[in-house]
Amino acid sequence: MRRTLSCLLHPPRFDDEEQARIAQIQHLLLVICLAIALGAAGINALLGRSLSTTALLASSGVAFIALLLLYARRLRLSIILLLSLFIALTASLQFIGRGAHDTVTSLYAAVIVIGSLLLNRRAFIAMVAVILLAIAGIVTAEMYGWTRSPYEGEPGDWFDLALILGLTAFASRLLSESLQHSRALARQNAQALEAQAAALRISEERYRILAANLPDSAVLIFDHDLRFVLADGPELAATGYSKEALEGRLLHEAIPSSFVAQVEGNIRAVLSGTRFSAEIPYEDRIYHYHYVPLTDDSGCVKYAMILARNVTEQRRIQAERERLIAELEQKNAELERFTYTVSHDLKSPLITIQGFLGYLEHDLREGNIERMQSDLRRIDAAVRKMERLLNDLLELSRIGRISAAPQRVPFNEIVKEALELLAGRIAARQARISVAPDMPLVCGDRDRLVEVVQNLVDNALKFCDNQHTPHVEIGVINETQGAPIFYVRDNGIGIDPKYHEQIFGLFNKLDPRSEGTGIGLTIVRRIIEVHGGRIWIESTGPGAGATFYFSLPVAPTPTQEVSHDRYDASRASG
Amino acid sequence: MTDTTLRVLLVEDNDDHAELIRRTLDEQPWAPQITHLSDGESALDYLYRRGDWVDPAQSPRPHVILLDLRLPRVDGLDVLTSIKQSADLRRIPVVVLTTSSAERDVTRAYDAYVNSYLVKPFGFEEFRDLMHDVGVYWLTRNTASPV
Repeated sequence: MRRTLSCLLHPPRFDDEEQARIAQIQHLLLVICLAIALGAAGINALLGRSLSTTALLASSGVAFIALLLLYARRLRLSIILLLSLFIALTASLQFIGRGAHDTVTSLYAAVIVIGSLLLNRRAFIAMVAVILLAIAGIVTAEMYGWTRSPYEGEPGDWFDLALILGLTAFASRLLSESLQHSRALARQNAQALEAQAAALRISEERYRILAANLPDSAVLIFDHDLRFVLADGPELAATGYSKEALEGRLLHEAIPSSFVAQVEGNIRAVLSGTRFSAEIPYEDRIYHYHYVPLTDDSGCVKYAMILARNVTEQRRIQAERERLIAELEQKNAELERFTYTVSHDLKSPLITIQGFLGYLEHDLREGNIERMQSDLRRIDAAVRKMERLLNDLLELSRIGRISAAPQRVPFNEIVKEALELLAGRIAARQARISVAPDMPLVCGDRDRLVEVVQNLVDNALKFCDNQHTPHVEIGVINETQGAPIFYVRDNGIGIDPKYHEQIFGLFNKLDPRSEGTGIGLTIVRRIIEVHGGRIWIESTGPGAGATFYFSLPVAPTPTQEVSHDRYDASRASG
Repeated sequence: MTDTTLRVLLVEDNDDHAELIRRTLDEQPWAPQITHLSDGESALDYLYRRGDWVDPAQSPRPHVILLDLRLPRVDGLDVLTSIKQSADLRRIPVVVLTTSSAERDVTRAYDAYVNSYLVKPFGFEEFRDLMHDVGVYWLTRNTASPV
C-alpha cells in the first residue's frame, strides 16, 4: 500500500520527451488538486458543510480517476478529465455563488494557462470555446434569475469576460508555443551537439587506431596551447614516453627543453597552416616528421599533427645502397679502363710482330742480313713483351681472388723478406736501405705484402738519381687512432705532382724506355686496397725524391681475431 | 727560296711502331723528314718551342702531325686539345694513329677537332697501304694552310 502510494508520488514514465514533460505537469497538478480537494473536503466536513464536502470529495474522486488514467498512459483522457473537472467545478461554484461576478471566475484563467501548457492547439481552442460557452450559460442563467447571484446578468458581462479570457488564452498560448518552440530548438541543438560529439569521438577513435598501428611511427596532436591532445604509436615507447605521460600536458612540461627548442617553431608553423616535412635526429635515431595542420569545416587550423616515423634503418640501408652503387660504379669504371688498356696494350705488340714479319720478307729478298737480324730482335722483343703483359695481367687478376688466410706478421719481417729478394739489385746500385725497428704487426696475406714492399723498393731503386747514393728509408707513422701508415721514401728523381695519380694506372709508364710493363704500382695499389688500405705518393717534383705512403689494418688482438678474420676473408674474396 | 721539305711530326711511344711508320714513309718517292717524339710532353715542347726546342730552326712546323693517343706523361688527347686550342697551331692537320677503336676515343678526338682518325691495322700490307695513303693525301694532295 505504501509502495503504491509512494509510486503515485512519481509521474509515470513516457519514452517521448514531450509526453513525459506533459505527464509530469499533469501529475503535479493532479497531486496538488487531490491534496487541496481532500484537505478542503476535510475542513468542510468539520464545518459541517455537507454539500461542499460532497462536492470536494466527488472532485477528489474525479482527480483520482484522472491520476489512474495517467498511470494507465491515457494521458489525453486524463488531461481532458482534469480540465473538465476544473471547468465543471468553476461553473458549479459560479452557479451556487455570485454567478459571473464570482471570484472563482478567475479560475478559468488558471484553467486556460494549464490548458495552454498541456493541450495541443485544437484541443486548447475547443477548451476555450467550452469555457466561453460555460460563462455564456452562467450569464444567461443570471439574466433569467436561475442563480443565487445578487447580480443581474447582462450580455455585456459575457463580452467582458470573453474578451479578458480570450486575451488570456491568446497570450498564454503564445507564451506556451514560444516556450515549446524554444524547447524544440534547444532539443535540436542538443541533438546536433550530441551527434557532433559522437562524430568527434569516432574520428578521435580512428586517429587513435591509426596512430597505434602505424609501424615505426608515433603520432602527436597539439592544440593551440601546444598541449598534447593525442600521443600514440608503437614508436612512442622507443622514445621513452608514454601516452599517459604526454596527453593533456603542455609541450614544455612534458619533454626536455632542448628538444622543445627543435620542434616548437615547427609546431607553431603548422598551427598557422603550413604543411611540411623535416628530418630530425633524436638520440641515436633519425625521425622523419610530417607536420600536418588539422582544420575544422571552416578551414581554421584546430590542431597540429606530427607524424614521426623512425627512418634510421631506412636511411642506413639507403646510405649502404648508395655506397654500394658508388663502389660498383667505381669498379665498373675501373674495369672499363682496364679492358681499354689491355686491348690497346696487347694489340701493340701484335702490330709490331706483323709489321716486322712483313719487312723480314723484304730483307730476305734483298739479302739484307743485318736488318733481318734487327727485325727479328724486334719481333722477339714484342713476343716477350706480350708474354710479360699477359703474365702481369694474370698476376693482377689473381690478387684478391686467391688469397691465403690472413696472418698476423710483424711488418719488419715482411720488409726483411722483400729486401732479401732484392739483395742483388740493391748491391748493384750500391743503395743504402734503412728500416725502422719495431714496426707494428700487420694482418694480411704475407706473400702479397712482401710483394708490395718489394715493388716499392724496386721502384725506388729504378728511379734513383745518378748523382746521389740511392737511399731508401722504410718506416711507419703511428697514427693515434686508426691504422698505422707505413712509408717507403727515396732520394730519387721524384715525380711531378700532376702525375701522382697516373703512375698507379695499368701499364702507365712515365718513361716509355724504363724497364717493365708499368704494372708494378697497379699491383701494389690493388694489394693494398684488397687489404682495406690506401696508398698515395708524396713528392714535390723532379729531383725532390718521393715517398709512398700506405695504410694497412693493424693485427687485431687475439680476442678480436675471429671477427676480423671473417671481415678480411670477405674483403679478400670480393 | 722556299723550303719544300715535307715534314711529319710523329708522336709515338712505341719505338717499334715508330720504326714501322718511318720505314713505310721512307720508301715513298716523296719521303718526308720525320721528327719522332715518344711522349706528349715533348710533343708540346716541340710545338710550343720550349725546353730542348726553343730554337725555331730546330722545330719547324710540320705539314702533318701523326699522333698516338695513349702516351706517357701527357695523353694524346690532351696534346690534340692543346694544339686545336692554340691559334698558332690549330691549322696544322692532326691525324690520330692509334690501336684504339674505342668509340669513346673516336668521339673525343673528333670533339677536339682532330682532322682524321686512323686505327693501326693488323697485317703488314694493310699497315703499309695505310701509311702510303696517309702520306699521299696529307703531304701531296692536301693543301696546307699558309703560315
